[in-house]
This record gives sequence, C-alpha cells and structure tokens, in this order.
Amino acid sequence: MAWNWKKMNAAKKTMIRRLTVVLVAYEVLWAGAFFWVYRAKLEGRILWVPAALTTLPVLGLIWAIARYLGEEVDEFHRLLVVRCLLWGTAAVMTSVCFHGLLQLLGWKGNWSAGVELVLFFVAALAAKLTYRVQNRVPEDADVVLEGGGR
Amino acid sequence: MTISGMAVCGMSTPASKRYQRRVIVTTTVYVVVLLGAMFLVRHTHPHGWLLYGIAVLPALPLLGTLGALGVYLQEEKDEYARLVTMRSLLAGTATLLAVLVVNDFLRTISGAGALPPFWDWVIFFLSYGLAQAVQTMRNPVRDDA
Repeated sequence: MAWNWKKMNAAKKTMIRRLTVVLVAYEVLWAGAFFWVYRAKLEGRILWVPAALTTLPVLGLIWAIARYLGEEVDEFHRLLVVRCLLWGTAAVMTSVCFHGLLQLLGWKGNWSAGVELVLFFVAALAAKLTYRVQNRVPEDADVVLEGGGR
Repeated sequence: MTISGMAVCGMSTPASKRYQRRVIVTTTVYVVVLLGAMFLVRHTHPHGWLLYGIAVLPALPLLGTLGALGVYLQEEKDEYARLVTMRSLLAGTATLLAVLVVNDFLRTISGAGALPPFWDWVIFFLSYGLAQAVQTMRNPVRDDA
C-alpha cells in the first residue's frame, strides 16, 4: 500500500482530491470569517454565522470519508480508514475529557482553540502510518490495487 | 437481520451482543473511576502533575468504549450492521467536530468559554445513537435474518 499515485485505486484518488478541496476551503473560510468579523466588527449573535460557516469544510471532510467508504471496493482499505477515524475521534475525546475533568476539579486554564482538530488529524495520520507498518502483506494490497487502478 | 426492541441503537448479532457487554463494563468502570477521582481530589487536594494524572484516568474507560467499537467492527460479520455502525460513527464524529469548530471560533473571536465538561461526549454518543436509530427505522428489510 505504497503512497504511489499510479498504484492507488480510483476511490482513493477521488477521496484525496476531495480532501484537498476541503482543506483549502477550510483555510479560505477560516481566514475569510476572521477577516469579516474584524472588518465588520461583528458582535453578539451574528458571530454564530461566521462560526457556522467554518464548520462546512469539517462536514465536507466527513462527507468525503463517507463517500470513500461507499465507493471503496477493497474491504481491508475501508476498515483501515474507519480505524483511523476511530483513533482520531478517540484522541479528540481524550483531550475533551481531560480538559473537562480538569475544569471540574477546579483548573482555571483553557485549551487553545483548534487543539482538538489538530489532535484528530495527528492521531488519524499516526494510526494510518502504524497500520501501514503493521500490514504484513503490503505487496498483496498493491497487486489488488494495480488491477483496479486507473 | 433481526432488530429487537432492545437494540434500537444497535444490532442483535453475536458480535453486537459482545459489544454491548463491553460497553456496559467500560461505562461502569468509567462511573467508578470518575467518582473515585472526584473523591480523591476533594479529600487530598492534589495539584500539578498529580492532578493531571488523576484527570486522565476517567478518559481511559471512555477510550475503552471506542476500542470496543473498533473490535466490534472487526468481529461483525453482517455487512449491513457494519455499514450502519460506520455511518453512525461518521455522524457522531461530524457532529462533534462541527460543535468543537464553532466553539473554537467563538472562543477565539469573542472570548467565549469552553463547552461545559463532558458535553462533547454527550454530543458524540447522542448523535451516534440517533444516527443508528434513524437508520434502523429506515431499514426496509427488517426480518431478512
């Protein structure tokens, strides 16, 4: 399962393209929302509008993964993506639980904004790399992919 | 696939029964560890690294719950049940991340506070359960097992 574009199957290529669009959209929307808020000096309830806008790429990310799971024909690869998603979610949950309990126990500090999202991606990527190392038959996966690759 | 009343939020396959048992164990351990941690903090007033260590403890059984979900996905032989779980997991993660992103944005822009403790877990499991219940209700072939 090498990172070789030519050997990747169509579903994975499509997912990578979609994720690239989603990431670019996230950067643009996040910067645009900040620019809008500071330029128009938004306050109060209207702040929920730019805040909600920044969630769209995050929902797009999950949509891209959902589409991939629907389009992927290789059961093993589908399971790997779901496991990476689980690891990402677990990292977010741990961070949130730790933070919440510290506050409950009297801690006055606060997590930096965006920590959870970074943790999600780091954990999902780490899981992906770990599974790649653990995969005892990587060549087997590549042979299958070569047959289905475009 | 048989869908019993007990399993509104799940499937009644052997793998799902094992999953439900594991979740009951991890949730019980979570409640015990959480109450124990709070008791310990109230009576010994730890601070610094010890407090951080105690704060990590209740997260472990919750991680066990997600681990049980991973094991279930591996053990489940019913393709449809696995698909429903995967979709529900996606719905839970999407809702959780969306809420966190909105909260992060508001915290950065207007100095709003973080979500109350453990709300994120409630949001995740509610949306997960809701997604599973909706899919179960929309399942057109309820008795093909």
